[in-house]
Amino acid sequence: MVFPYIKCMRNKAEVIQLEPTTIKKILNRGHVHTFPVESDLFYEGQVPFVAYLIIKGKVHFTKNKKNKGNVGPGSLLGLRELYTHTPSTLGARVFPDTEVVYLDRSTIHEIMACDEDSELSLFFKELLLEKAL
Amino acid sequence: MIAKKGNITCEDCPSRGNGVFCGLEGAELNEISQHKVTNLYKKGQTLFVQGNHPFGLYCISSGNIKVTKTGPDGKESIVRIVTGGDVIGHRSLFTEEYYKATATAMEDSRVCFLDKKFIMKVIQDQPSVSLNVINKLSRDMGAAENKVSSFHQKNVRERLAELLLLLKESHGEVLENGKVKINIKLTREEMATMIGTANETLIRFISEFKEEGLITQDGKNIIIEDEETLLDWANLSY
Repeated sequence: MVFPYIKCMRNKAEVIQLEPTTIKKILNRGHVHTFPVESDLFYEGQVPFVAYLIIKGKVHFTKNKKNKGNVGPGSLLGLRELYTHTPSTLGARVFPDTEVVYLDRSTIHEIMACDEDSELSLFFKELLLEKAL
Repeated sequence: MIAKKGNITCEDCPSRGNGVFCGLEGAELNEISQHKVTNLYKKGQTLFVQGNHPFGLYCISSGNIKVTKTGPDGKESIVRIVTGGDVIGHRSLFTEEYYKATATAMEDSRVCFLDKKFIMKVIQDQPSVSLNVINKLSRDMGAAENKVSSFHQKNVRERLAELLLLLKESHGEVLENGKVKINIKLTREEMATMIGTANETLIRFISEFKEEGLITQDGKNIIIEDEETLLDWANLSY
């Protein structure tokens, strides 16, 4: 394993908890965006458009408009669903002032193809290979 | 490409031929199909919210999406309605600004998403897509200019007649008797915000249009009965 991570299930939603070293590496590849207002990242039954890495603040999962738990900084969500084109069984709603890094398909492909940052490249390959199995 | 649940290929898109990618074929179109994420939005679900950061382009496959702006008083006004073949989110994408409006599904709608890096690459590589985006931006600007001049130069009656004609163009469905049904369900409140007037005023003018035989109603849908008079009332300058 290149970078350690914890994979956990939060009410059927897969959340990958990343270590600070990994977050730092990802931050070098993407921009941090702040959500000024509470918004839906994705709805129940939808494929997330991008994967979201939470830097600050929190996101709550919903099912039938009921809160099914929160995740905070260091959590990476939506990666499996985005990569495998699988609809999420839960919706995700972001709280105001939450900071996230978007990891879209292009960025993930870029990271995996990049030689300069091979550790991060291997990390994603490992993570996504595990998901494909 | 095998289409997963909710997903369809660009080749099978019901709006193919109307969109910015209609000049593409074969491998180029397949690349977009492979890269895009397709989702179904239920009525009332939002695609993006005013104030948030844009991260891609939304391409409407089917359904109707309203683009609204919320003012400082919290009032929402409809800026435009987009339908199959239209794209949204492109302006904020190119200007690097935050979304200046909110996009909400007016009915169950199928929407495809392409991330910013990918769409920029497609625009650089495919001149036909670039030209279609420029065409789309130019039309949007023309519509915005018309709207500003209408708000300044026309009264509510004229603005309502103009709105009905515009909706006829975008959502008109010719019936067996040759009349045109506006195939979109808009509340009186939504229509009022589109022409910048109060609900009560709009209701009064709708009644007047009905009494004069310009329009009739089929449930929530409006049917254009007398287009010629409507054109006259709209006081179009061209």
